Amino acid sequence: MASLKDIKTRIGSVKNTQQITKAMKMVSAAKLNRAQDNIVNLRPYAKGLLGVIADIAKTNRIQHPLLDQNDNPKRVLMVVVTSDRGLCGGFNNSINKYAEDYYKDNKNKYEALDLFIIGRRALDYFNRRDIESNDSILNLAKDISYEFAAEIAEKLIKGFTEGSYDEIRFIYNEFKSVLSQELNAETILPIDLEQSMFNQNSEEKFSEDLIFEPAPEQIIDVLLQKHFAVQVYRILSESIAAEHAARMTAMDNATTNAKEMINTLTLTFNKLRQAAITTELTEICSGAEALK
Amino acid sequence: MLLTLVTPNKKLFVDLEVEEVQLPGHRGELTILEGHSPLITTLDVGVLKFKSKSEAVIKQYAISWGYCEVAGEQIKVLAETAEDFEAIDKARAEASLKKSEDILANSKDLSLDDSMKYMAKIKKAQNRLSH
Repeated sequence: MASLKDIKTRIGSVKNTQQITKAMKMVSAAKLNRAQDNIVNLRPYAKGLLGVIADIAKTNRIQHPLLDQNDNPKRVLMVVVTSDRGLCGGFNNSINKYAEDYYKDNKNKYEALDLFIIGRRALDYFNRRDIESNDSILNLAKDISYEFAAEIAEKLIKGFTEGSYDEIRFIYNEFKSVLSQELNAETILPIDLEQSMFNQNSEEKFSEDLIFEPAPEQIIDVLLQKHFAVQVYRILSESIAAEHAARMTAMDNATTNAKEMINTLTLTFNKLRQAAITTELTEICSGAEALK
Repeated sequence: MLLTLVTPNKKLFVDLEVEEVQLPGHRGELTILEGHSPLITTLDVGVLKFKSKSEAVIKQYAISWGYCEVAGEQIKVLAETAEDFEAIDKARAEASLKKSEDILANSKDLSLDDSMKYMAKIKKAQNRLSH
């Protein structure tokens, strides 16, 4: 049986852990707030961009390589978005599992199925399983900026226009609420305009003598690239928000568990102490009895 | 006229009443006054100026790529970055300018894409320092 001193040290160490998890929870909560702000702030920009693309595409019936739907893709790039750090529950695991299963199931179906990895967790996971990744990006966590996302987007779009891939698909955690993240697999290239603008009817807003500078074909080219960059930024922000939410929940659970453990340990400690006192008292009493 | 200025990070103004707006359009500087015909243009790196109705001062913002849509009373500007000239961190802009210039000057085997990228960076930094 553990001695009083052992239990005391044990309580101390659990208390320390509890303090750490508590602090981590608070840090995650603050970061989550910021990540959520990012998503909210992006919305008007994304909406405006999509609106004008829709307007131009509708009035001019534009064909563009980024818009060509491909029913039978041959070369697919899978972008797997995870975090750099752990301690966030099943956040990374579910993504890795899904990506691995998908990779194994579909590898032979396509001419090429490549991985583009974001986040150290996925990189380590696939390295351990000897699955080669095409490219990877780490250290995303801090404060992801739009410029950073735009650079990634540029890289991806280059692979697409040069013909290395004819479909780009993202696998990431979508931020639903603080308590739930949802795994999402989304094809974002080629861009499916139909799907993203189901309730926009702005046709009559455009008059015939609208001036375009430069020509509509060129404008739409730039706008589609920016639209893609915005999508990448949105997905990364969602993933980061989801990560912090997952970590917050995980750390909250850990704190509760630590509290329970401290309670049990304190109870055992008190019982033992009481037992020790009782034994001592009996000894003193019987000693005094014997002297009479 | 009502001006809306939005970036990916922030909504700067929504429907701000203005008298005139100056933009770095695709074909050069562009001034929009009341009754401008409908227009869609991309914007280059440059300065966005506007005179609001309520205040007499002219406000200036450094913007990088964006586009502008004029339809009736509405002027919608979406820019990748938009910074008030008064709030620009000059030291940072200078550092970025110097860094890009160094890279361009000193590395020989830069790919075309990369050198384009650094030229764009230099342009942006110069724009931010232009006041």
